[in-house]
Amino acid sequence: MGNKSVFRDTVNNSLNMINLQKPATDTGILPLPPGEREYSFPVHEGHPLQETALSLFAIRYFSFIILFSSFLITFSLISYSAAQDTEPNTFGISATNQLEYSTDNKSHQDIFHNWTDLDLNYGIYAANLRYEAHQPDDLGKTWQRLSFRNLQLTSEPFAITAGNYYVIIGRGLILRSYENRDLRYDNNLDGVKGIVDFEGFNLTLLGGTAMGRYERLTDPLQAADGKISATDWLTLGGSYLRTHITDLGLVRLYGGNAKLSLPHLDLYAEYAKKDNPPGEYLQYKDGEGKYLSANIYASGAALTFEYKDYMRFDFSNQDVTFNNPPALTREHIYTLLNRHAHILDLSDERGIQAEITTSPAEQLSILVNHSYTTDRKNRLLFTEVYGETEYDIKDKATVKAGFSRMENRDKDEPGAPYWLAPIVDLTYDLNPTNSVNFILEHLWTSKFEGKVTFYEQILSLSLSHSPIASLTFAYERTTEWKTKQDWSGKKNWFMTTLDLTVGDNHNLSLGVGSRRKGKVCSGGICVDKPALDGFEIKLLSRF
Amino acid sequence: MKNLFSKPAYFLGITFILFSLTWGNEIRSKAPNFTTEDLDGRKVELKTVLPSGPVLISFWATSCKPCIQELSAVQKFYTEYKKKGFEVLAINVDGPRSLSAVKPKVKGLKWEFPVLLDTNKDIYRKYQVLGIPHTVIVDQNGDIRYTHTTYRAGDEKLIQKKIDELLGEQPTETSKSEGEKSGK
Repeated sequence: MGNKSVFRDTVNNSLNMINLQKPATDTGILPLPPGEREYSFPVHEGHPLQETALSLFAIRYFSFIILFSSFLITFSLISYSAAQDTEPNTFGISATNQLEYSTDNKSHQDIFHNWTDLDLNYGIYAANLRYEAHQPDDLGKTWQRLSFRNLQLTSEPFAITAGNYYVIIGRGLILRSYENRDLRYDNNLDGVKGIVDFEGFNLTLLGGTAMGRYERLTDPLQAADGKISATDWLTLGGSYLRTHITDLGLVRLYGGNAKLSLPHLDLYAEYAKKDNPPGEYLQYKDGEGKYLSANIYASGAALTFEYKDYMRFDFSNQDVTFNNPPALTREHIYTLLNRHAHILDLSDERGIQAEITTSPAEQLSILVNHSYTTDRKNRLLFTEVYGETEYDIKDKATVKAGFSRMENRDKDEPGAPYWLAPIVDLTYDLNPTNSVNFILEHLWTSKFEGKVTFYEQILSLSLSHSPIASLTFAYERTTEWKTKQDWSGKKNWFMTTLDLTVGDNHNLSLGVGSRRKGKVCSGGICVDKPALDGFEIKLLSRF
Repeated sequence: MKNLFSKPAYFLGITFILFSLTWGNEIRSKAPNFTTEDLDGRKVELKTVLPSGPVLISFWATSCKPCIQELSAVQKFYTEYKKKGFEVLAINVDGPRSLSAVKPKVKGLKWEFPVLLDTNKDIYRKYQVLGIPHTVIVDQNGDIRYTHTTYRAGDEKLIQKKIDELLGEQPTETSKSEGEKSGK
């Protein structure tokens, strides 16, 4: 396949490179006995972390054992109290299946993905199972396994999960464990999570190991997150997390957040600090993250302002990224605008995003967005100005026009490019069940100080018949003779897609033609999706 | 494609296609209960909303154009149907990146129904959502009566028809007692 994922791994890679380039004695890494690699992190002589294997074991697993014991005790207590409840329990079972298959005529490569989820419920108990098969996946690797299984127990005010689970702390500065199938991203935790939610007080305790792309980490993490709503308009929170990072050592994150909700004003502020073991390299120094968000509402208009400041705040181990703070760049719905999205670099960036939305007339809405990101030396990393206006001709048509100007200085965007992108999006309702949608996306690129200019266009026409089917013709062209994304020399792509709703429970999508290779981004994380010149099928089913 | 049946997952997929095409349309599983915050930080629980009438649960995000089209279409009949006991819970699944844009977007769209936050997709997973927009209609007994993924202009007519059918049905004693229990 040759395609390459573009995960946010800058600092992770640089840390690994430093260790590879310099001999162990130079980096201060103590000689380790054979077979003890899992405890291999750089520690200076005399540092408190220079301990025996036994004490290390105690540090790493003690809180996990405590948490698990607490889980068993609470589980028993809740089960007992639930048994006293005379309300009849009902048994529920539901399943879904998501299948994606594509075959490429040119590379003769088949890609197959299948996710089967099964949920079982009985009273206060629930169990979730997921079986995944990728034969092969987008990177060409074939694998299948029971990738997610847990047992949950919910009896107010307690909720306990044993097994795999997802969690977010605050706005993701300290920890975000989540799944995004479009990005083929899943960093679920395997362990125990307990929640107490009572009268404005919420406490979450968790422990477990995180999933990487193919393998689960061996280093467990433990975290606690508390929230208290002092009044209807003020919530205060605090969090603590600790884990071992392979080749680095014990890392601790802690922070606090505050949320204020007033009739015309919402404020959210979060600060987090990351303590690394002391080391001689800059990347090993302590880091911090700051995030602020303010919403102001007044007579049909809303202003959103956000601020970020991330310094040495990358929190990852091997191919697992634990945190996912707000990137403060607009997430577009249009393909070409999203193709050059900024990839969040938590090692050094700060910036702002401001957005104004207003409706000067009932059928008219206007949006203006500006984002600006630099490093700590004030060198520009990314900036965009985006404007959009939409006019709704009641029950007849919707006319939308947008314009973007972007600059991206990410390392995978050579030539300091900037882009100008007008968008036109028209929907016309032929009658109550049939409609036509036309989208024109135009992206003009200038790089190497104007020495290289070219444009890309996507024209899309969709015909839809409610509630059964829609047919989409998508045509893409470029005047660029060679791009970083696609070196095939191909300049035109044409894809036809038929989407069918089969009964209430199944969605079938059939596509034939060619589609360009391109970046798909969400939440500051991007992956390159492979090109397609052939056939694809997607089926979503519920049982 | 040569070794189609030698690969178990392919076979599994084909089995699922056949299975799904032969499976009946009616879904009557229980809707999982959930508690989450609305845009003003107030707690909303599904089982406290159910006794007054059928509930439409719609999963959406600010970057999902058809989701917004669907909910805007639902808004057109919401005010009238709300008087009959119907309720909409619009569950937003924006992640932390775009969370701050949710409330301004809702205010701009002038939606009157409750918008709830599901930042890390916990409710999304409970309802086994595979893509948005995803719509679920739950009756007063807490049974899921209709699910639908994607939105095409005109789909709201089908939703309206399903709600009309449910508004014609009477709640059972179980749902009444659950409502009394929850104090609503």
